[in-house]
Amino acid sequence: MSTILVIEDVPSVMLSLRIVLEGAGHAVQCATNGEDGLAALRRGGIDLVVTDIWMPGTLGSSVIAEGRRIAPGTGFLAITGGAPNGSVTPDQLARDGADFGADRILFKPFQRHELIAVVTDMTAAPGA
Amino acid sequence: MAHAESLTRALQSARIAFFDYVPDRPRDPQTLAGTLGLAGTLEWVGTHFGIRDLDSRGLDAVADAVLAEDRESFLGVFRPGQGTARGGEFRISPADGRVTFLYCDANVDMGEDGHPARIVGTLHDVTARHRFEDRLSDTLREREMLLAVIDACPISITVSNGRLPDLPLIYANRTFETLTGYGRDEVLGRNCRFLQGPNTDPAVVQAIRETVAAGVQAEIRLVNYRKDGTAFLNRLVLAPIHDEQGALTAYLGLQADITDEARREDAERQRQRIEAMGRMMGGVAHEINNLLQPVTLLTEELIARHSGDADRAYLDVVLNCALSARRIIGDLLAFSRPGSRRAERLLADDLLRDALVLVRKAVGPGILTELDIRDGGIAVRADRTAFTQVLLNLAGNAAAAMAGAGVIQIVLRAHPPDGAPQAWRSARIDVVDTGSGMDRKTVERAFEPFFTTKPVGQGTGLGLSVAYGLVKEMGGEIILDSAPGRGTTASVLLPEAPQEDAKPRETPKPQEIPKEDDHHVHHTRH
Ligand SMILES: Nc1ncnc2c1ncn2[C@@H]1O[C@H](COP(=O)(O)OP(=O)(O)OP(=O)(O)O)[C@@H](O)[C@H]1O
Ligand SMILES: [Mg+2]
Repeated sequence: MSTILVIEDVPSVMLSLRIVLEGAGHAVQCATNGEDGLAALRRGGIDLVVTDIWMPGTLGSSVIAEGRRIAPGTGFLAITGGAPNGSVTPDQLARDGADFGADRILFKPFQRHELIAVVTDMTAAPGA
Repeated sequence: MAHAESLTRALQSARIAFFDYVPDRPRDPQTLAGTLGLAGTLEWVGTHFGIRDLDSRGLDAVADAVLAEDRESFLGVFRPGQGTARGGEFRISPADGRVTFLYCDANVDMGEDGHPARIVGTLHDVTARHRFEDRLSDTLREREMLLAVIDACPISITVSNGRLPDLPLIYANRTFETLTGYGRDEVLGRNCRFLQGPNTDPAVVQAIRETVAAGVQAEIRLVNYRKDGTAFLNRLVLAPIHDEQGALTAYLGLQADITDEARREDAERQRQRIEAMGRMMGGVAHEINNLLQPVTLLTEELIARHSGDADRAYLDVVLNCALSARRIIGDLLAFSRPGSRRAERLLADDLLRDALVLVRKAVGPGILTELDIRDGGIAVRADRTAFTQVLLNLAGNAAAAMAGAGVIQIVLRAHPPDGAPQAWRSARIDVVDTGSGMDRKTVERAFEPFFTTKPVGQGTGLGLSVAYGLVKEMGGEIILDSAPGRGTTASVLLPEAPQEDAKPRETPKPQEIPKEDDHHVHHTRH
């Protein structure tokens, strides 16, 4: 069991992530924006951060950069469905090898088994 | 004497002189040496043309006034020689410096010794006539040059007579002949409407009529036809020419073939439309992806919890819908994505043969695919999967248009783009069907995502838009040529890849036919 911080601005997405991750036996903390997420990180005790990229306010990529300073031992998983203005699309990001500074990336909509596999992998990794 | 005086006055005012010259008998040549041999008696009536000392020095005075260049023609008249009638022109420039053209008309009486005994004649000032002729020839030369310039002008130019009913052509330059294929002699005297044909818009013809009736200038685009029947889009500029009284005398017509230009503009408009739509789709995709996320995850969560349940089947339906939606969104984005995939430098013929393996399986029984490689060995930069997808989509459309039975011809040839240097080539892949074809409206919209004429459930309308995006990514383009009943040719143009990053095909197939004379046609029936 790990403690996972989920940063996601869309409530229904947040709900589904929480249900699946809790179902897999993890403890889940929720933040609906980057600032709240970073505050949670500062409080400590987080093994893995799952963060959306395009959010109002602080972008996911900034959260990851700042978060690495706050909690150097924490893993970061980025999740994204492309840019709201259509300028960037998920497959494009995949091709460009975009990672937003994260350790792993999943493109929305991903499936339950994909999420569980990545999270299991990341929380089992040494140093996580 | 009064008589002679008035004659002299009359001759003076007419700038004419009468002369009567009796040369001295030529003595020995020794005496003549160093002189012009013009000694003799000279009687001169009329104007002196400003020549000084005429009375005292005789012809020598005239000879001194003659311009050096014209001396020969002067001497030809007055020096002993052959022939009895002489005429000639020479210029004199007496002391006042003005040049006068003199025309001399002389009669020679030959003596028994074979030398002229007497020369009688008139001299006439023809300067004014000369000046006029000079000016005339200048004008003519200018006109001729102007006509030559207009004739050689790379713009097609015609002139119609505005004073005659129905404005018949009175002039057409060489470019008009090359543009239309008609010779001048075939068209002069006719109204220019012989260029019109079946696809000429009657509304535009009406506009021309109104322009001419109003006597104003206008620029008009219309479909015209060459002598050989081929159509071209003509940008016609009509400009009236009026005389000083303001009456219409002529209509100037400038014709330009803007077929290619219009085609490029059209393609550019379409490209912009698709790109704008692509951006919109990207935005929509972001929304949909976020909506699909909880649908997918929560459905799967429920499936995991209700594995033995009777309701499980419903959840599977929901999940399948979500996954289908995800696939459609992915397809949708394929046509708007910039950047490059895993593009490799590959021979177009190899690419085509590989793709065809899949295509032949996909098009179904009843469809025959013919591969005709006219020009092998053209390397292009492309992603194999993407190329296969393009060909699948095009062949799929061709098969559908032929209702599942017929021949799809796939032709590969080199394509030199217009205006580009000879060295620059494209591989052109034509996918030709003999199916239903499309009307103009359908062709215009065919690349739009979700545009389909297929019944609900049979087509998503993404085939061509996806193909478009993929080909664009490879730096190429797709062109549709279609007409109802005739069938469709979808052409994929891929620019030839430069030699530098040459990457040979990993394993050349031993059974492959040499590329150079690869005119083979493969027939495969599935
Ligand atoms: N070869 C063709 N002959 C006749 N019509 C064609 C041809 N190719 C395309 N079209 C027309 O263009 C429309 C759009 O084609 P497109 O491939 O984008 O979508 P679709 O074939 O309708 O659906 P999908 O490819 O997504 O299954 C078609 O519905 C059809 O009307
Ligand atoms: Mg299609």
